[in-house]
Amino acid sequence: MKILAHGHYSATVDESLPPLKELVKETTGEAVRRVGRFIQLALIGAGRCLQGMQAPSDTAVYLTSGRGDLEITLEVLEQMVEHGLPPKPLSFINTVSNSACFYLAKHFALHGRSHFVTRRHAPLESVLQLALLDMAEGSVQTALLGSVDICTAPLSDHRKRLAVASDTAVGEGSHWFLLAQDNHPAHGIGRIVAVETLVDEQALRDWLAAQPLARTDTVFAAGQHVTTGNADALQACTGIAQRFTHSPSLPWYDSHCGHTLGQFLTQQPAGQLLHIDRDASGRYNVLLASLP
Amino acid sequence: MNHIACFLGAGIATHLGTGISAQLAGLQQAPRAPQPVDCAIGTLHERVPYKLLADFPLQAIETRLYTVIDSVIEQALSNVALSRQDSNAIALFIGSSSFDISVSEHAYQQAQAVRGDAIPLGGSSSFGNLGARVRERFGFNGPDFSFNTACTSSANALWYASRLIRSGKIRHALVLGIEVINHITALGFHGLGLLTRSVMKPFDSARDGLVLGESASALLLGPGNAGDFRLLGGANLCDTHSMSAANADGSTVAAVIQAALAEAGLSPSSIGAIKAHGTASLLNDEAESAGLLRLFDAAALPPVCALKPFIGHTLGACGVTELVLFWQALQQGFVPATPGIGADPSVLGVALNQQACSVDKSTFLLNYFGFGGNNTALVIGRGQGG
Repeated sequence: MKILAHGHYSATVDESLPPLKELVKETTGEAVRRVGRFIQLALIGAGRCLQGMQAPSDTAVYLTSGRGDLEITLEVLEQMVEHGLPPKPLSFINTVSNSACFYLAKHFALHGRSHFVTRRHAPLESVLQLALLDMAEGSVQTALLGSVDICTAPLSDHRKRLAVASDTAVGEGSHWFLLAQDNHPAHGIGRIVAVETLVDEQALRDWLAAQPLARTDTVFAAGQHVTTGNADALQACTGIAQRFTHSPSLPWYDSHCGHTLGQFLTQQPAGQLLHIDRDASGRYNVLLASLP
Repeated sequence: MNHIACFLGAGIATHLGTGISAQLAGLQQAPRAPQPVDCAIGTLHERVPYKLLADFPLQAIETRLYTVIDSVIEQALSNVALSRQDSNAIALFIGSSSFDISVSEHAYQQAQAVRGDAIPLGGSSSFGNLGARVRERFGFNGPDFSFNTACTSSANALWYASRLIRSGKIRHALVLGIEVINHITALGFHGLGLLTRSVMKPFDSARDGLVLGESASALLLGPGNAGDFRLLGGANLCDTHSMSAANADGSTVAAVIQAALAEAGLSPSSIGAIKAHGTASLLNDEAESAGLLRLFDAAALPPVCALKPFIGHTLGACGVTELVLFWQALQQGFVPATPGIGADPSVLGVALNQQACSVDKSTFLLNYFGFGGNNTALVIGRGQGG
């Protein structure tokens, strides 16, 4: 699956959440009213990816997130519990995650399929797997695919929701990719070669052994759920010498994988990227990408 | 190589009861009006009409959710002999509008009552938590996917599950549709003024709104026998006409049905019966009937049935739940009927099936439409070969 374009937004968030309204207008060319941070970030990331280009109208939209639109869900809950008020109609409708897909499709004039799909510890990998299936079947020619994760104030509460330590830097991320079938005539900036969920370390080793990896031209990236010590062991398992690191280190949000893939495409530290993350049950989610 | 994804086993719990036989019995009775349910959170208190799960009393919210999920998965697995290896490798697909938000709401409400400064969604909250819990409980180690596309969630989950099996990437999939009562959903729909206290009447000029329903349903997919029911095709398209309703001219509904038929390699004339989305809102009924009439000759429209009058609108779960009801009724040789509801075709050009009837064709259409312009159509039928 070809990557035709990439765009992103990511920021560390201090106690006050940075306003996004102007950035939405700057990126998309118009003020989008009555939407919250989640939809704003989706529009900013996708807009930076497309950079004014009109994607084909049958382009599919795939959106993922670790926790979805926390802001709107919190607003509705607090409104009910603290103020005794029922959800406002638009707020209620926007609690459904694919509302953001609607705004993206509407703004970018897209009418293809539209999905919000996620997986704990591997949101981007989950949606990439479905896009790969659709492309392989030939039912989708082009796709706009991205991950969006927002912060909510106060950050002390947000950290509790993320289950991270009270001194952990937290942030927001919106990482988007315009994808196409391998035989698409447009020039690609990279390729998604494979995305796999492997049941255990032996399955990972078997999978690695079957890949035609040019190890000297591949960079290894450990996913955000892999501890530093385990990352060394995992890297040794791959036989890859070069390690991809984020500099400066990323604030915590759920979809670092999108940032890593975007940085790989921009910085081009090697011909291939092997990103491996491990979930709480010991499964490995693997992403293999390459430059054109 | 193409593999096949037959419907191997199903589990279900709805307002009609628990298990397949309870559903089949309920589908042969006249639909009944919902019961009002107390929805109290903070100082907000409303009585919202609902079709609750028949066999799971509304108490111990967290335990109740997990118990009903476990129950339907155990039902789905009970009649299928899988090897340990196949069982371990099952991929999990969940479709829901609300996942475990009922648990988070309850925890917040309890903590707020005690401390007064509780944090909403205070525990680690993630869409993927429910999937992780189910995987751990049943030892499913395949990939898992959680779909949140409003009322099409579990229909979309089923479509991808079936195609991932056909591609050979996975061998078996467990597709779970789950929707239980929660305050955001109940009071959100109540606030929209979309609910009726009487029986849902889709495609009926006496329509008065929708009824919310709870359901949990599980469908095991995998290699089966020639002639087993399976998903033959599907499609999903984004309708940007409106956030909350499909285009009333039927164009976008027709487009998604046409795409599903194309994926199945079928024409409208092959369809033996249609399971309508049928939410009993004027906009949905107009869009759905106009869409059907763009593709089907009005004089030769196959029987159209609506299942929400029996179980309520089960939102993200309705994809799998209504498919299981429809498939099991077809297996028993009948298309469900709603006598007295949607009987007059003169208004919208589409009438609902009025008397349980058999059909001689072996392929069937199911429609699902959701907030956010998410339209999905599925085509099911018996296989022609192994």
